[in-house]
Formats: sequence, C-alpha cells, structure tokens
Amino acid sequence: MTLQPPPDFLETAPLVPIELDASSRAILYIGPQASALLGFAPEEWLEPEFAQSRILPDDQASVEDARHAAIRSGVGHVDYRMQHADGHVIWVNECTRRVAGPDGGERLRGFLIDITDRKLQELTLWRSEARLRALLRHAPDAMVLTDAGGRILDMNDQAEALFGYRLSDVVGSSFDHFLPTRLQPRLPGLRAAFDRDPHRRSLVDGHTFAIERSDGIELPVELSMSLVAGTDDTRQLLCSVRDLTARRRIEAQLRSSERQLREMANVLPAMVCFLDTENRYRFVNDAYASWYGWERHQIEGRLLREVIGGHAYSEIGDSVEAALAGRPTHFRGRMEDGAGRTVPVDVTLVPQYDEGGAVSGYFVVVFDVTDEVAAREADRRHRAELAHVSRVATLGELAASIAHELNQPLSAIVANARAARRLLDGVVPDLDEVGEALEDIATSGRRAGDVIAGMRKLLQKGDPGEARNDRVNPAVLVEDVIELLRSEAIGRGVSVHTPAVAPPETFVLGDSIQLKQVLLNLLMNAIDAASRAPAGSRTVTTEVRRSEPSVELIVRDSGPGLPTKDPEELFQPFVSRRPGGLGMGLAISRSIVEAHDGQIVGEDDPEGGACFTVRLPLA
Amino acid sequence: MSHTPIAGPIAIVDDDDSVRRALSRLLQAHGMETLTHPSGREFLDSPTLHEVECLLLDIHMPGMSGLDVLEEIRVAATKLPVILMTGRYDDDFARRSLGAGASAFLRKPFEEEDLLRAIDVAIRERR
Repeated sequence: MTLQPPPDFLETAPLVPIELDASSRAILYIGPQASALLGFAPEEWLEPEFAQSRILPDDQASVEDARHAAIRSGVGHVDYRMQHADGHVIWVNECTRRVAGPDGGERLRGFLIDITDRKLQELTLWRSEARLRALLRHAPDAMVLTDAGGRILDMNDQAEALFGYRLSDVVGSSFDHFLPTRLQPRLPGLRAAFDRDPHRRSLVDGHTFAIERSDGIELPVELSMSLVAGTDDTRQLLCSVRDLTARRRIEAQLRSSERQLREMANVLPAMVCFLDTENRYRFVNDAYASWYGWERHQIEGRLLREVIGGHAYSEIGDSVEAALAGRPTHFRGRMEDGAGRTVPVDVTLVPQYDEGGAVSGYFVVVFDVTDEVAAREADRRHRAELAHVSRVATLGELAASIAHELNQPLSAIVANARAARRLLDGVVPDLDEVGEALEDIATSGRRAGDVIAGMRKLLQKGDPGEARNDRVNPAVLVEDVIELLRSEAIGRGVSVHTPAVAPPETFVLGDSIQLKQVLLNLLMNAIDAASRAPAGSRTVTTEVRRSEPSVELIVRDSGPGLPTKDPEELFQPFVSRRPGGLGMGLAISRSIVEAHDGQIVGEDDPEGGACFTVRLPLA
Repeated sequence: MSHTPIAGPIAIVDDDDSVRRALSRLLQAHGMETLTHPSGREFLDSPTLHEVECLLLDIHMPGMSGLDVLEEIRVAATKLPVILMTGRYDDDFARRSLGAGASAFLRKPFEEEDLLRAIDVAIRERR
C-alpha cells in the first residue's frame, strides 16, 4: 500500500487535468484525455482562444464568473457546454483551484470532467417534474403531491382554497392533516389497498369520504390517487381531491325531485309510465305495476310488448307511433290486467323532448273509467226510462189524433167491405168493382198497420242493455214525425211546412227513437203555440240545414213566442204550457240531445213566434 | 129498410182519398149517384153545388175544416142537408156540429145502416 499515485494516473483517469494562466486564462497544460473529451489533440487546446471558442456563447459568462471566483476565493466550480469536434454538444464540469506558478504568477489548476450523461438525466427529470408542476397548477381539481409515506410535498392553488391552508403551512406534514379525525384511521388501509393495486384510480367513493377544512367544516369529496414516479422509496403519489358539495346538492335535488315525481305519480288515481324511444319502460308508478301484478322494478327496463302482450301492442301501435312522432294521442279502449280482467280505460300518450328538441320518449297515462262508464250507463238507462215515460205521455196526448189516423183507414175498410157485399148480392155482380174494393181494403189495412207500427216504435222501451247507435237521416226523422202529427196539426188548424229539400247524404249517429221524440216534442209544442195564432196564420216550419261539422234541425212556429227569456227556465222539467202535458218534453229533449253530443237552443224568432234549433254532430 | 127516393147526387168531401172512394163505392152500390171532392173549398166552388141532394162532410181537413164549410153553407142560407163525419173521438165536435146545423154526426168507422139512415133522415128533413 502506498500513498503515491500510480505513475500513469494523471494520464489515464477519466478526467482531464488542466492548468490555466490566472490572468490571461490561457491554457498552459492539458492532459492527453482532452482528445477523447472534445475530439481535438492537446496541442490544439494550447492555441490561444481555442478552448474559449469551443464554449457555447451562452455559457461563457458563467465560466468567466467561476474562474474569477476561483482566483478571488481559491476554488471555482462551473458546468458548461462545449462543442465537440463532430458538432454535438457536451457538458463539462470544470473544477479549479488557485495555485502559485513557478514564475510567481497565479495559475488555476484543476480538472475537466465529461458530465454529459448526468446532465441529460437531470434535464429529463427536470422536464417531467416541470410538467407535473404545471399539471398541478392548472388542474381543475385540488391536487396534492405526497411522498410514499404520505407527507405533503406540494399542492396547487385549488387545494389551498379547498383545504384553507397555505402550502407553506402544511408542506412536510401528513396528508392525514386534511381528514376529519374519525376518517384518519382509514387512510393507511386505503393506501395499502392502493399499494396492492396501484392502477386503481379512485381510492374511495365520494359518498363516504370527506375532508376537513382549516375552519373545521367537513366537505364530501371524491379522492383519487395515482403513482407519479420513482422506485419504492422515491415514488410520489398525486392525490386528486374533487369537491362533491355542488354535485351532491344537485344529485340530492334530482333525487328529491325524482322522489317527489314518483310520490306524486303514486298518489295519482291513474296508471303512469314513461317509455323511451325503444319502447322500453323507464318509469312506472305503483298503480301501473300492480295493475300487472308486479313490482315496479320488474317492469322498468322491459319492453312495452313484453309487458302488455302482442295483441294489446298491435292495438295501440298507431298511438305509440304518433307519440314517437311528437303527436299526443288520446283514446278509449279496454285493457286487460295481470289477472285477465278487462276494464274500460282512458289512455293518453304525451311525447317528451330532450334538450335538442328530439322526442326522447313518451308518457302514458291510463285512467280506469269503469265507474265513469257505469255511471254513464246508469244515467243513460234513467234517461231512457224517463224518455219512455214521456213518450207514452205524449202519445196519450195524441190519442185523439192517432185514433183519427186509424179510423180513416178503418172506415174505408168497412165501407169497401159493405160495398163489395152489396155488389155481390146484385143480379149481375160487378166483379171488377168488387176486386177493386178488395184491393182498397188491403191498402187501407196496411195503412192502419203502419200507424200502429209507428206508435209501437215510439212506445218501445228500447233495449235497456245497450245504447242504440243508428245511422239516421235527420230529414227522414222530421218527415216521420210530421206524418205522425199530421192529424193533430189539422185538428188545430195548423199547417206544417217543410220548405227546403233535405240535404242528401246527411246522417247522424244515435238512438232514432229518442231523436224522433225530440222532434215530436218540439213539433207538438210548435203546433200548440201556432194554434194560438189567428186562424189563417197558424204555421209551423221545419228545416234541416247542414252546417259542418253539424246538422241543424230547426222548428219555427207562428205562435206568441217563448214564455220566458231564461233558457234554463225554458228547459225546466214539470213546466208545461200544454193542457195534459207532463212538462217533461223540453227537459228530456235537452238531455237526449246532449247525450248525442249536441245542443238545443230555444229563442224568439225575429219574424215572430219561437224557434228551436237542435244541433247534432254529423256522422 | 125503405128509403126515400133520391133525386140528385150525394156529395162526399174528405181529404182522405181512400175514404172518398170507399164511401162513393158503397153509396153507388146502393144505387145512389155520388160526387167527390178532396176539400171543402173545391166543393163550395164546384158548379154542381146546387144539384147536390145531401153532403157527407169530413170535419178534420187541412186548410178549411168541415165546420168552416158548414158555416159557409149556412151563411149562404142553402137548405143542403149536411152529415158530418169525424175520425176523432171528441164529443165536443158532435155538440158543436149539431149546433151549427148539421143533420147528423157520424163517428168513423160507421156502419152501412147508420150511413144510409142518416142520409134518409137528412133528405126527408129537407123536404
């Protein structure tokens, strides 16, 4: 062992010995390793200004500073860049010490070391760190950089604002610092879980994790961690902390409004559901689910066809199509429940739109209208019964006229029969005349039969089970009723006119007997009113007028006009102007007309007398 | 039944065509001559009015009723016997018609004998 360096140490060590004149900075000596360092022989280095010219201009000032420092204080260090003979740049560390030269002048003696590799590594590291810092600064979330032990290294402004601490206050302390005391024991476990699976991004779900601010307020957060760099010892963890307060509030509001909607939908006396554009249930209320004998979740997510069945699906297909095309639809139908029971329902489909205005689905609201239908049916029966009673009473009033209508053909029959008998008794029977008499008898018999049939129709109670829905021409109804009242009008000296020819192809749907009854009431009232006018001006005029989408049946009389201007009083029951009248005519007429979706109006005619108009929807 | 001989025609006024024809046929079978009119106005305006021996007149006709016709006949102070007919069951008409000078009142449908008797009586009364 010796303290002496090996004899070739200076020439072979991986560094370049150098000596410079302290005042002129001229290189006085440089080791042979200089060739390897820069690609130039040592002799070239000794040329004046050579080394200076190879130092990159940007670095020359710091080189000069370091040398100046060495002269002044004895030691100088500097890293700088030089241009290699082949053009690339190398990093050099120059380390010199001031020494006294043999001539008494000062010299700088030291080494040049090639530090290019180390510098490149440093630069890479610096660059990635700079990126990390920039990321930290500009991230929208609060970001905290910790070491492997959870000690805080850095954090961004957002984190300072969120936690209410300055970085300088917390740097070096544990991340636990930011957690409420009750949650702090959880962190090691979470960190261990992250260690086992470092790819896991979100450490905890935002619902249960919270941080505590410097002012003691707890905030719900979503915490994610990611591995930044380094080996086990040098790695860093980037913690991203997202404040969930606003999101929580919005979510809570959404949940609350959705809950309210559900609760509201559940107390509605209707079945409500929402389907998307694929006809998939997105929402159903309790009533809807229990209709099919299911729980809500058993229907939500399923397709419409699966739930209601193919048959029902084909029946409502058009309405669904319309709703998806943006048109609300409404219809009445029958619907089968989970137990196979069918009830009448009222169904409405309402399209819903997304923010872009496209149809996103549709609401279906279904009302069970069993009670309504039953009530309407009961109402219809009552009306039919009342109408029947009223018809019987009206025909009672017409007994004398009806008798006349029957007695006319009967008297013709009797006279013809007697005449025939007489003719047959003659010496030479006039068989031709007898034949004609018999023919007339048959005609009169038929006529009497027609009168009775017409009466029977009016006396019919009608099928109590179902409402009639005849397709009738109102003009024909008017003619029939005028025929029935012909004798009555003649008896009262009233002439009945039907001036305009009824418009062809005009039909209404309804109970022809009840509609006839309306006309019977109106015409009887009109004949009665007209009979109070002076002889010769006793007229009743009827008219059938098409007025899209309705048809108007008008009855005018030349009587004294309406007894009251109050339309309600006019249609009051048990008020009659006719002797023997029940006073039900107009009341029943109105209920019949309204049951046919029509209106009846009574008013004074400007030309005198009264005018009643019945408006019925065209079939 | 013996009947008073009838010199002139029996007029029948009724708006109902079948009744006019039947009554006319019956009276002709009994050898009487008949004239028929569908309305009172047509009868009153007919040129054969004064040849008529007896008038069978329906009360209920549109426009001019049988009672209106009867009144006009009485105003004209003719002694034409008038038998009123009605298909309505209304006693009030019977009283009013007899009060207005009708010789008989028949309710339809009536029997052959009742008609013939009424005509016989009416003609006899006229003479």
